[in-house]
Parts: sequence; C-alpha cells; structure tokens
Amino acid sequence: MSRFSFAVALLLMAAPCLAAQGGRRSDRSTPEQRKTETIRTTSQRLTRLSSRPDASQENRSLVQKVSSLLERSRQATAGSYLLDRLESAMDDLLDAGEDIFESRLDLRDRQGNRDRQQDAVEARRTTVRELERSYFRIQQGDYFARQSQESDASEYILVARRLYQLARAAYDAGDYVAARGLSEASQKVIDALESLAQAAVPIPEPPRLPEN
Amino acid sequence: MAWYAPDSFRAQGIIIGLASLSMAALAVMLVQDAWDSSRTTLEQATQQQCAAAARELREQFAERASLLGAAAGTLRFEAEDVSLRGLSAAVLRSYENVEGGFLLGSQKQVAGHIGRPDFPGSQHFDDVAARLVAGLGAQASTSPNLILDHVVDGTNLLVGAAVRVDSHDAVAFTLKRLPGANDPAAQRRRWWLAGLVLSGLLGLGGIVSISIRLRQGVATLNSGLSRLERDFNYRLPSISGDFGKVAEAINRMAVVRGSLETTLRRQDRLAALGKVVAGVAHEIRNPLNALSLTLELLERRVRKGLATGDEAREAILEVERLERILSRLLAFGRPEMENRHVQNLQPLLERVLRVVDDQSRRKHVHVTLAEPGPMQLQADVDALAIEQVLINILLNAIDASPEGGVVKVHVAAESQGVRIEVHDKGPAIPDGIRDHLFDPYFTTKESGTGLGLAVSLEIVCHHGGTIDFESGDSGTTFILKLPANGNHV
Repeated sequence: MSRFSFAVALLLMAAPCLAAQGGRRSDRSTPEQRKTETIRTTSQRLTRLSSRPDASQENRSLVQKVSSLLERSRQATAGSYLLDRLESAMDDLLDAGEDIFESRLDLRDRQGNRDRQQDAVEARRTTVRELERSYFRIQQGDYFARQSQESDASEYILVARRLYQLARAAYDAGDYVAARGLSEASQKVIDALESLAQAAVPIPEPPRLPEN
Repeated sequence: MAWYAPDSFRAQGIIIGLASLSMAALAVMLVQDAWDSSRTTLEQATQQQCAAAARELREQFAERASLLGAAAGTLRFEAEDVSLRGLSAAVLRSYENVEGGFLLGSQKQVAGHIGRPDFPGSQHFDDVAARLVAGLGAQASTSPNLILDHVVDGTNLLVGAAVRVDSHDAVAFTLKRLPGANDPAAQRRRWWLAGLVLSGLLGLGGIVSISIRLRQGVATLNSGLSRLERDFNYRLPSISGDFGKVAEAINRMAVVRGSLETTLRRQDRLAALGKVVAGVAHEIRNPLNALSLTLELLERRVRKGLATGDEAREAILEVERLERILSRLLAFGRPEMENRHVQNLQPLLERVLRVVDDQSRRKHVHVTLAEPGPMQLQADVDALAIEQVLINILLNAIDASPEGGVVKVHVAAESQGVRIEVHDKGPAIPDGIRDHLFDPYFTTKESGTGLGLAVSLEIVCHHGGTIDFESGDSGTTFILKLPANGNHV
C-alpha cells in the first residue's frame, strides 16, 4: 500500500468518527459553548426578523422583547435553568414573528385564490379550534404574568390579544390560513410568557398529600 | 285627589298592597335562600359545579399533553407546575370559589393547584382537604368515571370531584369549601325566619282581605242609605258579617221611623184641623158681628114700627157672605174666583169700611179714605175675596194703631192696575217676624189664628196681584196691587 493509499484509507476510516464527532458537537459541547451558539443563532434570527418589511406594532414589540431577553441571556449563567427558560421564551417570540410575517405574506399570495380552497369546511373547523385554544391561552396569560414578575408582562398579553383579534378578523374575512397563523403567533407569545413565569423563582411549593 | 287622603280606603289599600308586595318578595327571597342553603341542595349544586370543573380540567390537560407531545415531561417539576397552574387558573376562573389541580404519577403528586384567595391557607391543603383529595385521587385513578365525595369538618363542608385523564397518568381534581353549610342551627334559623315572614305575609293578607270587605261593606251601606233617603220604603240588602248587623239596625231604625212618622202625621193632621177650625171661627166672626148689629138695628126698628126691607136685605147679604167665606175656607189652597170681573172699587171699599166701622169705633181709631178717592178706578176682582183681604189688612192696622190714631186708605191708578195702600201709625213690625208675616198659622196675637194674611196673600196671588208692606218708625203701610183687566200686575 502506497503512502497515498494508506492516507486515503486512514481518512476513510476516520471520516465516520470525525463526522460523528461533529454531529455530537452540541452534546459534548460545554455549557458556555452552547450559550454562545444560542446567542449567536438567536441574534441572527432577530436580525432577520427586524429586517423584514413588516412595520406592524406587534412586530416591533416582539423585536424589542427578544432584544431585551437576549441581553438578559448574555448575563445568565451558562447551563442554568434560567437561561434555558429565556432561550425558550426567545424562540417562542421569534417563532411568533415568523408566523405573523408568513401569515401576511401568505395573505398577499392568496389574493383572489380563496375559492380554490379544497376543504373549506375542514379549514374552518380547524381554525375555530385554534382560535379557541388561543383564547384559552390568553386567559392563562393573566396567571403567568403575575407569576413571571416581569415589569412588562402585561405587554405580552396585550400583544397576544391584539394578534388574537387580528386572527378573528381574518377568520371573519374567510382567510383561515392567516387566521391560524396569527392565532398560533398569539399562543406563542403566551408560551414565551409561560417560560418567563417558569423562570421566575421561587416557585410556590405545591401541596403534598398525606403519605398513607 | 280624594284617593290621596291618607284616611281614605284607597290610599290605605295602596299602602297595604305595597307592603304586601314587599313582604311577599322578602318571603320568596328568604325561602329561596333557606332552600338553597339547605345542605342537600347546596351539596348537590356544589357537586355539579365541581364535576363540571374537573371535566374541563381533564380536557384541557389532555389537549395540552397532546400538543406538547414528546416535549411533555422534559421540564423540571417546578416549571411543569407553573404551566399547569396557569391552565387551572384559566379553567377555574369560570367556577366561583372552586379550587383544583392535578395529581401526577403514581405518587399522586399535586401539581397545578389553584387555591382560593378568600380561604387563607388553601394554597396548602389542610388535613381535611388533603384527606378528601387523596381519597378522590385513589378512587379516580382506578375508575373511568367521575368520582364525587365530601367531607364534614365541624360546621363546614368540603365537596370534591375527581376524574382520571385517560392515557395519561394523571387525575384532575376540584374542591369547594362551604363554610357553615353543615350548621343545623343556622339552617333552623333560616327556616324560622322564612316562617316568620310567611306568617307576617299571611297576616298582611288578612288585613288586605279585611280592608276589601270593609270597603265593600261601607260602599253597600253608603249606596243603601242614599237610596233610603229617596225611598223610605227601601230596605238595605242583607250583608254577611258585622256590616250585616249594621244594615239590620238601619232597617229596624227605618221601620221605627216610618211608624213614628205615621203617628206624627196623624197628630199634625189633628193639630191642623184644630187650627183650621180656629181660622174658620176667625173668618166668620167679623161678618157675624156685622150681622148681629144689623139684626139688633132691625129689632129696634121693628119694635118702633120703622122697619124697612133694607136692614133685612143687609142681614141676608151678610149671611150670604158667611156662606161664601165658609166655602172658600173649605177650599183653602185652591180658591176659586167665580165672581171675578172688572168692577168699580167704590162700593167694595164702602162695604169694607162699614164692616170695620164697629171695630174702629171701639178702638177710637179713625179710618179715612184719602183723596183722590176711587171714584173712577176699576179692577178685575172678585169683590167678596178682595173685601176679605182689605178687611184683614184694615183690622190689623186698627189693632196696631194707638188709641185715637188714624188709619189712612189711599187708592191710586197704576200703569197696569190699581194700587191700594193702608197706612197706620203703629209701631214698626219687628225684624224677626217680617219674613213670617204671610206664613200660614203665624200670629203674634193671643186670639189670632195666623190665617188672615196667609189667606189674603193667596187671594191676591190668584188675582195676579201682589201684596207687600213697608214698616218703620213712621208706621206701617200695606201695599196691595190689583190688575185692571185680568192680567198680572
């Protein structure tokens, strides 16, 4: 076997190991590395969201909230429960921004095509269920807002309610796709608030049943 | 605005009606409250409420779990607890004073529990609540059905419900605390209060009934008395109750009064008959005097052999006058003027003066006929009737005149008849009797009957004339107006 052949063979043998090592890099990475990576990807998503041609108030609010949480994440201890919940909240808010944007883009793309919806009845039923879920989540938002102890917690509920109202308007207009997107965005805002409530400490001790 | 008077039946009825309505509303509210507060009712209603809340918790838990999918259970328990508390808070806000949550895993760990802020310490179970929830969880985890249970804690009652969340190792439970629901004394008090108010309501109903009967009774009596005023033979209808006794008493009184009136009427008739007899005597006394004088004169002349037919004729005339006076007295109230015609008043006045001549001589009163005399004056009269009127007026004037006084008779023509005035110098007629001078049977004389001027007024009125008087310090003047040709003056 020539030196070249040996090198190729060695490379081929090592390739799966290297590939496996690269694929598990997140698993084996340190908490600091994971934190850096999360902040990086979140910053990229935030930049993408803020650069979208959507000047709506909801979008601005979401960008502002994510920016604020991102700043808190930078100061949070790597690998902590707090950082985990802040990451979850930021993800939810960025997802909500994507949903809003896609709902509106989708709305523009669907101009004049509503009649071609294949299963309008099913779409309507699904949208109604989604709207009900959003309404119920907004009701939970009051509790999460109290528990989160965030000074701007009420703004999350305001944004969620506004998105729910937009979803209702889209539903009334027969645009079920947009209604579902906005409804999901509303739920994700509450999800973010829920994550912030989970991040708040201390958590009240749940009652215990007798041992016997 | 008679209804507004506070003492009117209508106003009292309105006040009592309003009070009754208020009392009825209060009674209904108290009975409803007592019923709702009874332990059985309260427990059933609370069980239904807890059951509905537990079912809704189960549904929301299942939906959340299905949405989370594999992500469920990756969070630490504290975070899961917060999420479930939010879910419980959203569900239980529709159920007043219901607390609840979930029992997770085989250890039945309590999660997502929302207590009531108005029950201090309910965030953490007390022993009683913990026992109830543990019992519910144990039963629900092995049963597909909803489990209902309750625990008595002194006077308080705890009602709970639990249901297993299918395909998940969880149980949704709810709990409601009912302070005082197991207090029999409080229950009794409520029923006693409701009973008292109901008794009061019955009393008010009685008052309303009495008020209505009172009003109807008074109305019946009122209308009956009004009819009795018009028809004394009418008798009030029989009414039940105390008003019936009043109606019977009024009917008895009407019978007695009718009997009394009959008696009085008989007595009045007898008295009137006596007065009429006295009046007749009065009326015929004057012609009888004249007849007596004429007969005396005739007797003296017959004795002297100087008798002529004049005195006898005079006597016959007086007898005829007596007969006609009697006829008219019998027909008092419906005098007839059979001999009425236009005639010269001169002979009439001369006859009158002759009749009163004897009376005036006895009283030394001079009766004069003032100039110009009635030579050419005529009137449409019944001579005998008008003579009677003038004799009555002249005799009254002579009686009223002082001794030696003068009574003047003045006759004059008027536009539609004749005016005759009789003036005396006597004292003025007192004010108190002026309005009664022409009343029948009114007299100020001991021997009078009170018929003279009453009869005179009637005679003059039937002639279409008038009779009046003026009286003052200078004396009294009776003014007689008679029609010249049958018309009224």
